[in-house]
Amino acid sequence: MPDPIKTYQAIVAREKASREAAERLLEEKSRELFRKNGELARFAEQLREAHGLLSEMMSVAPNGILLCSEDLLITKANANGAKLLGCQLDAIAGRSLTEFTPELAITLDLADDGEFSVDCCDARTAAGTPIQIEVHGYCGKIRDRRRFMLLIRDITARLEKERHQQLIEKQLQEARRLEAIGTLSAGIAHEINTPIQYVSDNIEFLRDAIEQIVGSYRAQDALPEAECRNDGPLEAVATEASEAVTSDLADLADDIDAALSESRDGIRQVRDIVLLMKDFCHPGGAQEPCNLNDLVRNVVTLSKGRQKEVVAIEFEPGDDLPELCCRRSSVQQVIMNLVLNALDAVETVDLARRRISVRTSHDQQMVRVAVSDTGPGVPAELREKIFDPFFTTKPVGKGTGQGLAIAIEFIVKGHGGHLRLIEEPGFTTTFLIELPRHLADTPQTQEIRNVRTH
Amino acid sequence: MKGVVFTEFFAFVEGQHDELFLQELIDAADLPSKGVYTATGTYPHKEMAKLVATLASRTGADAQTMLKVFGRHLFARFHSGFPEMFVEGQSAFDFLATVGDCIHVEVRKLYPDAELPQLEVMEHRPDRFCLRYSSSRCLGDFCEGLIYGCLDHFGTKAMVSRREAGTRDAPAIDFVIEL
Repeated sequence: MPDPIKTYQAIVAREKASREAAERLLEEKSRELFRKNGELARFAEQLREAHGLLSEMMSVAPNGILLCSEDLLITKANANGAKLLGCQLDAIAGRSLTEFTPELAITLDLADDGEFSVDCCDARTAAGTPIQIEVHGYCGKIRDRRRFMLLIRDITARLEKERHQQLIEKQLQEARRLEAIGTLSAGIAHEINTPIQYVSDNIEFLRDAIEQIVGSYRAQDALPEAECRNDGPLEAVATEASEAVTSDLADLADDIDAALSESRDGIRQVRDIVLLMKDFCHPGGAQEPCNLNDLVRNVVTLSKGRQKEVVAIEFEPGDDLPELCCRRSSVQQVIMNLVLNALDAVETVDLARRRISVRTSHDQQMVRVAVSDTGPGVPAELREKIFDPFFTTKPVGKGTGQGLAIAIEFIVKGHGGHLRLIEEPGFTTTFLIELPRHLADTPQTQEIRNVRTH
Repeated sequence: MKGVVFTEFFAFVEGQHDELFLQELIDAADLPSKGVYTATGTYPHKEMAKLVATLASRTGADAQTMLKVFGRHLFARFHSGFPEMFVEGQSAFDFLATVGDCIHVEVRKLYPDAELPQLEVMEHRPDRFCLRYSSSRCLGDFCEGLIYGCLDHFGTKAMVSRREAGTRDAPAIDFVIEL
C-alpha cells in the first residue's frame, strides 16, 4: 500500500512541474506572439505600401482599367477608366459594361479564358457620346472567381488622325499621278500631233485626187456632146483625155491606197494613245488579271515623247510571262514612276552613255520587272532614304518625293510584293519590282476590326 | 498528441477515482514525462497508450472499452471548451462532416505541429453517414468513443458499426452510422 503522504508529495511535485512547464510554455508563446506581432506590423506596413503603390499606379495609369464580374458588372475601375466612360469614380461600380459597349459585351460573352485583344470597338460614354476603344484583357479566375480584367484605350482621336493621314496620302498619290501625267503630256501631244499631221496631209491629197478623178470623168462625159456639136478633131481630144486618165490612174490608185492606209494607222495610233492615257489617268481600280509585259509596253508607249528627248528604252519582255491578279493602274503607275525617274537620271549624263533597260521575268513564286539606267546612280549614304516619303534628289519644284514611297505602298502593302534597289552589271541603278504570282490577303483587304484570343 | 487530451484524461480518471489513484497510475505507467503535461503542449501518443493500458490493468477493464469511454467523455469537454466549433441548427452528421475539412484546419492554424488523423466523409445521407478514419496511431476505439459522444451531444439515436478499410501499410476504419 503506497504511503499517501508520499503520493500527495508526488502530486504536488507533478502539479508544480506542470505549472512551471505551463509558465515556460506561456513565456515561449508570449515571445512568439511578440515576434509574430512585429512581423505582422511589418507585413501590414508592406501591405499598406503595396496597396498605396497599386492605388497610385491605378490612378495614374494612362489606360482605363476595369474589373468586371462574369456577368459583366463593373466591380472596380481606375480614374481613367471612369473618365473614359464619362462616370464618377465612386459611381461606376455596379454598372453593366453592356450599357457602355454592347459590342464588346457580346465579344466577352463568347471569349474563352486567357488573354484577348479587341483592336477597335464602338462604345458610348454615360452622356451618350460615341467613342471607339481598343481593349486588351484577361478572362479567367482572379482571386476566387471568374472575372474580366480590361485595359481600355480611347482611340477615337487616333483613328480620326489616321483617317486624315490616309486622306492626305491619297491626295499625295493623286498629286504624283497628275505630276506624271503632266510630265508625259508634252510628249503625248507630240505623239498625237505627228499622226494627226500626216492624216491631215493625206486628207488634202485625197481631196486633190478625188477632184482629179472627177475632172477626168467630166472630160470623158464631154466627148459625145463635142461630137454632136462637131467641135473639131474629136479623135485627138478623145486620145488626150484617155491618155491622161490611164497614165495617172494606176499611180493615183496606189497613192490613194497608201494615203488611206497611212491615215488608218495614224488614227489607230492616236486612238491607242488616248486609250492608254485614259487607262493611266483612271485612279485606283480593282484587282484584275493582267500581264506585266502589256503594262511595260503601255509605259514605253506613253513615255515615247520623253524618250525622244532623252534616250529610247530597251524593253526585253520575258518569255511566257504568266498573268497575275493585281491593281493594273497602280502597278502601271509604279513602273511609269521608275521609268520617268530613269529618264530624268540619264538625261544628266553624256548622250553616248545613256541607257535605260526594262526587263521582265518570272519563277514559280514571283513575277519581276527590273528598271535599270546608266544615270549618276544612288550614293551609298542615300540608298536607305530613297524610299522615305518626301525624299527627292530632284531640283526644287521638280519632284514631290512621293514616287518611291507610293511605289512601296502599292507594291509592298497593296500587293504583298517587294521593291528593292539592286546591283546589275552595266547599269548604275536598278530597281526590282517583285510581285507574288498568287496574291495573299493584303492589309488593304483585311478587316481592321478583329478579335483575337491567345 | 495534444496536451489537452492528456489533461482531460487526468480529469477523467480523477473524476472516476481520485487524485491518489491518478498519481499511482502515473507512477505505475513509468512515463518519460513523469505525467507533467500542459494543455497546449504536444507529447508522444505512446504515453497515452501506456496510461490507458495501465488504467485497464488496474481496473480490470479492457483498453478498447477504456478508450471508447474516454472518447465519449472527451467530446462533451470539447463542446464546453470550444463552443465556436459548433453551429446552431446543425445535426450530428453535419458536425462530423466538418471535422476533417474545417475543424482540423482550424486546429492546424493554432498548432502547426499537431499530428491529426485523416477523416474522410465516404457517405452523407439523411439516414446514413460513413466516416473513414486513417491514422498511424490506430486509435480507432478512441474515434468511435468521440462519435458516440457526438451522437449524445446532438441527441441522435443511431447505430454505429465499423469495418476495416485501407491496406496493411495504410490501415483505415470506416465508421457507418445509421439512424
